[in-house]
Amino acid sequence: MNWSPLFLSFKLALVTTLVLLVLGLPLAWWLARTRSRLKPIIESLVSLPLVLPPTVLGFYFLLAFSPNNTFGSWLDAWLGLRLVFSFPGLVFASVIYSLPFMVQPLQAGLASLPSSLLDSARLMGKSTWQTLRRVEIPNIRPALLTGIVLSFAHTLGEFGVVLMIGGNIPGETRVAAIAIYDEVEALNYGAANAYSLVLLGLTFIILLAVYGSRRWLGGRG
Amino acid sequence: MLKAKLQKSLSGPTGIFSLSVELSAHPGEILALYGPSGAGKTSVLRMMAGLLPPDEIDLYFRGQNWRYIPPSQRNIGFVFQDYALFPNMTVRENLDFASRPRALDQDQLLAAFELTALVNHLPAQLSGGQQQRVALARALVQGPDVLLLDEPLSALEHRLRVKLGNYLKQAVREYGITTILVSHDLGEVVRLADQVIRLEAGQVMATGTPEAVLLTDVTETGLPAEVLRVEGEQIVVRVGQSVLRVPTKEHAGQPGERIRLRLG
Repeated sequence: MNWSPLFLSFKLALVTTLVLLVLGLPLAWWLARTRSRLKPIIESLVSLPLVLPPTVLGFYFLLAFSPNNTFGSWLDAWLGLRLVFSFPGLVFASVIYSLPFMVQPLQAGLASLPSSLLDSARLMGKSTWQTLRRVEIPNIRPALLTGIVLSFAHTLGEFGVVLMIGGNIPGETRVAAIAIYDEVEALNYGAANAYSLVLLGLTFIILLAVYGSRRWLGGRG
Repeated sequence: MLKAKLQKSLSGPTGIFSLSVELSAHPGEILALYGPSGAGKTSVLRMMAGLLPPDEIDLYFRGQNWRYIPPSQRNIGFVFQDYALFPNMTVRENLDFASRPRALDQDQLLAAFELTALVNHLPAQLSGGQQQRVALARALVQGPDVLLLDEPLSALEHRLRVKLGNYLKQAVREYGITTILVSHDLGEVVRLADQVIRLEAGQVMATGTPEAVLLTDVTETGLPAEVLRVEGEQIVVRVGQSVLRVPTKEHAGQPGERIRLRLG
């Protein structure tokens, strides 16, 4: 059995989740705290991937990042970034596609913290950063865990977006979901079954480990 | 000295009402805001701390206009009604987090509040009364210039309520902390406050010493008072050095008449 598609799937899910953590936390914090009139617009944009067919998202990414088009050729010429049919392109598309799965739990967690906690920290002279680091993040650990697990699992199961922007390049963009589809198309049910079983077993073990540790994580939050 | 003049439109159970309060509090003294739930007491504290935007405000502390001082720089110790203890921190960590350069002796405070044995407990492992003690100790430990206390002893049993009330009063005097206490517990106000403002539906009904302000009705026995004037269903009376409004049910009184008022 070729392990490369499975390895690629987990690598994509891991990198995407890490990028989402870095981007999703400030965005969720802003959405939870802001009274800006832009909030409903940003919330709608973040939630779009929940309702949009993945192929639509993939199609527009393909158009935008194609070196034949202005933006894609600019990225290629100035930053040396080629996002179509490449692993960085998969990461970018996955980050957008899984954004609501990270942002929404974090936003809900932050919004549910009693305002008196933040007021209290503020009156103690703590900065926004100190309050976020010492009070807010430690007290939304269950939400943080939910965001990480959902983003990881959602990226692992991607098919439409990945196929549209990444194609099916072995070792580069051929993730497990696409490999399973290919094997079924070629009537190699045995290979498809092997990939599926490994994916099923590994993801179950990961989810079990994560949810099993939830009690510990929630203990001080 | 802390001087404040605050106005804000608030919505309560009976609809929208206007909160209008003028107060001044001295270092080392406790000023109590006394009145029924929904009178606007907590809103006054929150406006003074800079946590609730007022419609109009004049707020000076030691001659400095607090309107332009951010809440984080006012050096206020605040006890919230829900205690606002950080759930992820132990009792000790909560106090450490609140400490400032001028902090009071933490171990002495912990001992006074009977919390020494609980320093490694998380708030979720404490009873309501214990949490309230931590909240009060945490507000004091930062060595505040101003203490704003929202029902700070309400969850305590009688013995601790008296003991910590006395400790609080002593600490406020010793460190010259300007303190505003919100309470609807008459006994607590009489025991702790140097001055009282009785607030009803956002309006100041009376200001003065606890004994004077908390007299609410005309009666056969009670403290002597002089009627200054009659305003609708209220009479304005002088009790000692304080002037207050008293709702009357039976006895309207005449200007100059000497009456007696019941405490309640």
